[in-house]
Amino acid sequence: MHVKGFDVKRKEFTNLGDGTIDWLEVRRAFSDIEYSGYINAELGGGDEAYLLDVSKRLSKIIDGQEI
Amino acid sequence: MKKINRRSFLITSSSGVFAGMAFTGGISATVEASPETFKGKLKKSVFWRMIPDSLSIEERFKLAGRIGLDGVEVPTIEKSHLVGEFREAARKTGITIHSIMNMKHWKYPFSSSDPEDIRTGMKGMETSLQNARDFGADTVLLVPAVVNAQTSYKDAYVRSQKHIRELLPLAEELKLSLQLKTSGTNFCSAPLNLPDMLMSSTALILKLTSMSVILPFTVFRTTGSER
Repeated sequence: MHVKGFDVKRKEFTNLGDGTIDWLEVRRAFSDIEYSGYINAELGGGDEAYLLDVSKRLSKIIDGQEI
Repeated sequence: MKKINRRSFLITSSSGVFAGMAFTGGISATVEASPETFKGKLKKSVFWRMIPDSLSIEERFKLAGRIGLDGVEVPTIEKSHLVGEFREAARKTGITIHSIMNMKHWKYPFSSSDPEDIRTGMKGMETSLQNARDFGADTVLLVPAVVNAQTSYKDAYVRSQKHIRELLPLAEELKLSLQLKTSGTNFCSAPLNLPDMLMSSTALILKLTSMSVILPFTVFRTTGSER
């Protein structure tokens, strides 16, 4: 399952949590179907510090925390 | 087929839901005091090309481990010596290659009218499916069709169904899921179009789980066998 951010007003991709997607609701939808598997970020690349931040944002999605 | 509920995946402002997208009657999200229990289990991964290619394959797998990932999704690996390198690096680091992103489908889509394109596209998918078998991945990501000035929606629909159907026996034999990605393709970008397309594509899809996040990000995962 690919995940990425999006801003509806600006009509552009963003990092996870920087756009207008409600990740709590997305998580709820995953839970409703008892989805088990990967959430796979497909974003622009970067260095280790950036990728660590992406990893932390993925964790927040999984844990139901605000990014 | 599981019924798809209409939901809103957009953050609501104080003045209401953002306009411009197809969802209506959605459920507004509220900030939870404590997270709801999640029924299922989620693991973290990134697409391989997000990790700097200035690093060796093994170094990239080690980086994935340092930042806390469970797995990576890799693009189609065509060179056989690289398959071994990827497999060894994954084994050493404990990072799972869980998915193969097929690469030929943008230039050689299954919606093309050119038989040579289809042949090249099919070979690409066969390689991706073999990669999945070699790595123990359970998913191959395929863009099923591209609608553009050369290819009408109807032709894209009919052609892609035909060719995906040809792949399903191999996917079934390898016990793989095909993940169909429609973002950026102008094809089935409304999530309610996808179940009909998928259900008519083959009798081998016995269970469909569907998820729409936000247009144009509509990703469906199908299983090749009944769970």
